[in-house]
This record gives sequence, C-alpha cells and structure tokens, in this order.
Amino acid sequence: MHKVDRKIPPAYKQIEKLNTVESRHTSLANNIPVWLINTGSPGALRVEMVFDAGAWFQSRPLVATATNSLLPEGTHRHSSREISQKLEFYGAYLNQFTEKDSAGIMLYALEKHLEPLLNILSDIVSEPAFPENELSVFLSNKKEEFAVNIKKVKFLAHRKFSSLIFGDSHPYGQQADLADFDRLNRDELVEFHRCHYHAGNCKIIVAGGFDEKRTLRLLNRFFGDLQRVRGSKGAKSKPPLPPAEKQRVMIPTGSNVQSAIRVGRIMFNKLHPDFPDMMVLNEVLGGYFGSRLMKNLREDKGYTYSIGSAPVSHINGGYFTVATEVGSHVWEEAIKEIRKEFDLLCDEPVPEEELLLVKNYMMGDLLRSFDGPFAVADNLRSVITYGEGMEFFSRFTRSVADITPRRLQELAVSFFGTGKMCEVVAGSKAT
Amino acid sequence: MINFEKKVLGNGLVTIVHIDKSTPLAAVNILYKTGARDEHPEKTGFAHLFEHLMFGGSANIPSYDEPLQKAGGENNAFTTNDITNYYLTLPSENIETGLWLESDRMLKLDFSQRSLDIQKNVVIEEYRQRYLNQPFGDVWLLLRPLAYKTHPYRWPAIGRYISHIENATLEDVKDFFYNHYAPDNSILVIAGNVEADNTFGLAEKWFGGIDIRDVPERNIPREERQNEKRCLTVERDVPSSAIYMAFHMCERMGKEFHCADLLSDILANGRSSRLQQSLVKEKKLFSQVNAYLTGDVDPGLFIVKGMLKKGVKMDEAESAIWQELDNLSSSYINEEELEKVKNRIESQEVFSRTNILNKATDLAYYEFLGDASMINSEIEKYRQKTPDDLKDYAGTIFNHKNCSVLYYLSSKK
Repeated sequence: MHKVDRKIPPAYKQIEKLNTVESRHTSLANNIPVWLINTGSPGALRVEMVFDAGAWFQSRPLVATATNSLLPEGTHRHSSREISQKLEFYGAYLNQFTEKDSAGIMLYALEKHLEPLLNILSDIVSEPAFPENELSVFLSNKKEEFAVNIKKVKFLAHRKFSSLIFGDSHPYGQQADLADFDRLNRDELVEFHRCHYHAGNCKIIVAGGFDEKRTLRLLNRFFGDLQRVRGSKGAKSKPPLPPAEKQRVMIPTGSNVQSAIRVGRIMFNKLHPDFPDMMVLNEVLGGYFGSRLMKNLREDKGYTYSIGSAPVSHINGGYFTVATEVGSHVWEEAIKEIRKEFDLLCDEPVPEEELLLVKNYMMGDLLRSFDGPFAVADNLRSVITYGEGMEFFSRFTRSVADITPRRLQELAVSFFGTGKMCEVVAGSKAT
Repeated sequence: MINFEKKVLGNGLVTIVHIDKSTPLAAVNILYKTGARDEHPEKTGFAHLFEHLMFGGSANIPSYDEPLQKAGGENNAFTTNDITNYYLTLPSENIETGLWLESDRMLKLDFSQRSLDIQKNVVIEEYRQRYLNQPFGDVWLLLRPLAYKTHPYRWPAIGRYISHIENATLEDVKDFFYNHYAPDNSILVIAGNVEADNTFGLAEKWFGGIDIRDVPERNIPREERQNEKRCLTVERDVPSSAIYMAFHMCERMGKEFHCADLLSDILANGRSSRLQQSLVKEKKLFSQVNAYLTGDVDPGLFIVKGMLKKGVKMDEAESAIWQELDNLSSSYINEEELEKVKNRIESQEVFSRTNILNKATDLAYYEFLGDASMINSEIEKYRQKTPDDLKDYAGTIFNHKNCSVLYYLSSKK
C-alpha cells in the first residue's frame, strides 16, 4: 500500500450557490396561499397550516398556546379520543406550534391516506369545540409542567431577559405565571380561534413526495371554502419598548451547581438590511461550535458545557442574546469573558483566515439547513411570514460572500459598542 | 428500501456506502463498538470523556474542527452504554476532508494533559447541567443501580460519580484508546451524493493503512435474574412527585424485542394510547406518562414513568399503572389497536429516512447489531407479531418480581 501524507489536507471546494428543491406557489379558491415543495418520492408528506395567531395577538398569557394546543382535543362532530384514534390508525401524527407571531399545525401523513386525514385536519382547524373538560386537563397539566420549569435556572434567566428587553406588558415580553393557569376560560379560546384561525390569516405549505394535482384538489375540497372573518381586528399597534438602559438583574435561587446567564440587547429583525451581516458577526462570536465564545469559555476555560449567541427575529422586533449555563463559582468570570469578546469584535478586525472559515462553514450550514423537503419548508416558513420569499436566502448568501473584516467591525461597534447590554444571572450565588 | 454496498478493508474495517442523489450533502458515520458497558466499575464515564477528547486534535492534524468547518462541514458525537458514535455532514464534493479527519483520529490521537484537563472540566459541567442541576436530573443515577446489580448497565454513560471523571489520568486515556479504538472494532458508513467506486477508493486510501489492533475480548458479567420487587424512595426539591418503574426485558436481538416495543407504543405512544387516555385524561392521576425501552444490546429495561398530579397518593398512582399492565397480560389486544401501532412505526420510519444522516447512523447501528440489511427488514418483524405474542410477553415481563420502582417524592415544605 502506498503511504499517504496525512499532514496535507485534501483539496476542498467552496460552496457558492444554494441548490435546493424549488417550491411552487399557488392558491386555493378562497385565496389561501399554498406552497408546494415536492421531491417526487416517497409517498409521504407534511401538510402545514400557519396562521397569524401567535402570542403577539393575545390579550393575556396562554391564550394563543391553549387555543392552538386544544385544536385536536375535540370538535363539534368528534371527541378528542376519536380524532386521535383515527389519525393514529392511519399512521399519521400532528405537530402543533405556537410562536411569538405565528401558530400552526402540521400533519405528517402517508400519501395513500391523505383524503381521510385532510378531512380530519379540516374538522380540527375549522370546528374545534374546546371542551371544558379537555381545557381543564390541559391547564392543570401545563401548570405542573410550569412548576417544574421554574426550578430550572435556564428558564428563569430566559423569562427575565425577555421581559427586560421588551417590557412586562409587551406581548413579546409578557410572561405567564402560576395564577394565569387558573384564570383562562373557554370563551377566550373560542373568541381567539374565531378571530385568528380563518382563511384570511392562513398559509399552507405542503412538503414531501406527492401527486400535486390530486393534493391541490383535496386541499381545495377541504380548505377552499374556509371563510375569512369580517371585522376581525387588523394589525395591532406596537407598544412602546422600555428604555434600554444597561442593567444587571440577579435571580437568586436555592442551591444550584450552575448559574444561567443571558447577556444581550434589543435589535432589528430580519427585514432590516443589516440582518444578514449581523448573522455573520454572530457566527464569529457564538454561532457555531468553533465560535469565539465556545473556544474561550468552553475549550479554554472549561467554565461551561455549552455557550452560544443568536440574533432572534420576530415580526415586530428582535433581540440579540448570549446564553449559557456555567459553574456557579465562575459566573462573574464568565460574564467578564463574554464582555471581553464583545470588546474584541469592536476593537480589532476579524482576521481574514478566521473569516474565511466562518464563511465556508456558514455556506455548508445553509446547505444542510435545506436538506430534504421538510427542511426546505421550515426555511420557507421562516421568511413567508415576513412577506419575504426565497430571495431572502440569495441576499443572505451574497452577504456572506461579500462581507469584509472592516464591515464586521463597524457593525460590532454600532451594536455591541454602545454599552447598553442587559445581563441576567439566575443561580445560587446570584445574590 | 435502502440500497447499500458493503466492503471489508484488509484491517477489518467494515465500510458501507449508500448513494442518495437527491441531496447535495454527504454524511460520514463512524461507530466504535465501545460504550459505558466496557468501562471498569471504578473508572466509569470513560467512554464518554473519551468522546470529548476525540475533538482535541490527532497525530497529524492539530485541530479536528477547523479543517472540517472550512470545508463547510459540521460534526458531533454521542456515547451510549453500548457504542460511541461520531458523525459529520458536509457538501458531498468535500467528502475526502471528512475521511482524512476521521482516519487520522482513528490512527492516533494527540494525547495532551492540557486537553484532558479542559475536557474533564467540560464534562463535569455537562454532568452538572444535565444530571444535577435539573429537576429529576438524577433519575438515571438512581434507577440503573436499582435495576442492575452486576451488569455495567448499572451506571449511566456520563459515569457513576464526578470523581471518576476528575481522577482520569493521561495513562488511562491512552489505554482506553488502544484497547477500544481500532479499525477492526468500528464501522464506517458514507451516505449521500457520492459514487460508490470512488468512495470505497477514498476509504481505502485513508483508512487502509491503519493497523489492526488487539481489542481485548469483551467479558461482561450477566445480570442475575431478579427475584423480588425492588423499591427506592427519595425526596427532592421538585414541585410534584413521580414514579419510575423498570422491568427487565430481552436483549436487542432477542425475538421478543419487537413485542416489547409494540407494547410500549400501545401504552404510551400518541394521544390515543392507553395510559394517556385512561390515566391522564379519564382518571386524572398523572400530568404526564410515558413508556419506552432502553433498547440496549444486552438485556435492557422496559420503563414506565409518570408525573403525579397534586394530591394523588403514590400507591393509588402505582396501582393504576399495574392495572393497565395487567390488562395487557390478561386480555387480548384487538387487531385494530395493534394495526394502529404497527402503522405508526412504519410511517415514523418513512419520515425519519428523509434525512441523509439518519440513514447513515441507522445503517451503522444495524451493522453493529449484526447486519446492515436489517434496516430493510425490521418492519416485517413488527408486522408478524400477533395479539397472542404480545399478551404472552406482557405476562412474562410485567410482574412484581421483575420490577424496580423509584418513588421520587416532592419534599416541598
């Protein structure tokens, strides 16, 4: 056998463009927009209905989540049990989600059973009954789950951080507490469903391998006559944000061997022209395993198992956050190191070599994030809710290719250099 | 149907290639046939600590991550009681970078005291984050030694004690490497947008020159049959109490394994499952219930767990679970209910196979169990099970003498 020289890395190619499954855009008879992402095989698909029905639209905590969660728990025609038995008999399952802006329901189905399954889905989405008994089981179980969660330092830090960033009364900052679980009533869900789950508020994404004509015909049959609600409230006005002063909040807990840390500030969302560049800056700081924060706090100091940062985007605002859990005895040192990394980005340009690595990694990661029809659908949803299309990702790709160390430094100075960071620490030594 | 080709290199490395032209990516999965069950009882947590050290650079490549990231790749790994599994994905044109990196760390790690010290800290923080600083985090630290008395499954992959991790020396690390990391003790799977000949050629180029190593024969004590119910009660600062029941069951390749899996689905998979309907919704005894298998290679555990609702007594909760378990062994499951769980297993499989990395990992695991082609025949084994089979097996495992129970009580003042 010939010997290979292991010291010389094999040649590699830079990824320049994104090759993904194309999506096709069309609409139903009642103008519900539909996107089809079709790979042709293997006869299995995911039908996703997204509504403008996230936490942003609720008047108080839990309304949006409870409405969404209870959709399959009984309709005017079928009990919760009948619905789940039927769905599961066909090997199907549901995934429901409630986010800050959107809420929705995903049906995973084998194509051969699509017709009866869409029939059930349409019943669930348009005729939910919100039975009192199901609501009370849901609330009391969620309340117990919540009681477990508030024992976690990570959960405590995150809650506090959100309310600091947006303010307690802002729909993005508002937090549920134990009493909210006893306060919610059925009428609120019925009303929330009426106002926010209708044709004028809905998008459908179908991904997988399926017959397009037949699928569209079935979608039209089951959802093409879903009504728009007249006179439902339009866009909600933006509540004012609290003054973003630099502040540190300590949340003392019982005996915890780790403290949870959040450091960050309010930021623009993904519609802002600086957002793609910000993604690159974030990647350098804490966006991947080899990031500066991971290298420093995990691989060099051993303070933590994991640390990361992210720009978080909602339709009506966003924020930037660093998140970690560190040994309780080192939380002060950890914050010091996090600040040091912010300063370094402001004081010195990112070395070319490091930037090249980050660019290549990000392109590979983008490629990964488009692997398979469901992944493409997830990406699509993340932009169409903003009224954007796939061109968002071309802009993003260009931004990654073109960005310079100088531009990154300018961005760092304008966002991290102003000293307006919020810091939250939850843990036993946090007094 | 998942097609693949398999070749064994001269040094014993099993190499499998699966081609999928629908993705721009390739995945490389290397499974080392070593896990926490191969550890010394006084040096536990070692396989997992070692997994961390595998990212600290190898003989000819000072950094594992950087060249991979430069080629647009991403990687991770996990350690279980049976295996240590490493995987990466990258643009398929750059597949050789992945093979170069993986082969060099199989050849020889760059053992350094500094890397060891840092990773010991990282693992200790992982231990704290996952097992000590979470409500119910220590359940497996308690349940394993209750259910197992001799078999090394009595400790979790993270290790029995933090001190075992603290005490690890560089010498221990080197021994572990040469005793367990070897071409003849691992399985390489490459999946994605690649060509078979070229890929086998690259595998030979980078892995073919690594010598066979003397991997000591595994000598794991068999767990004695349990003869009486075991109970452990602990009090913790958690808001509500919980119950964990563990039943010994057959090994992964045992012929009743699929019966057990179907039984766990009938009990707790999906909203229409029995425990969900009867104990959560109707009787309102629990806020959450679950039933699942540990799925270990050696005889494993069938776990039933429940989070009690406020005010529910522990003995009431336990007897309600027993009643459901007894139903499984005293009356037949109807065909429709059985069909339901079989359909669900089948569709879950279809959905999990839409991802290139899942396919690579599954192929490696089935090859580890004995034959990669099991990836295409497992469904049939589920399909063949009858209500009779399930009733019989439920009768065999769901009895008090075969049960270890952890009562995890809320100590709220």
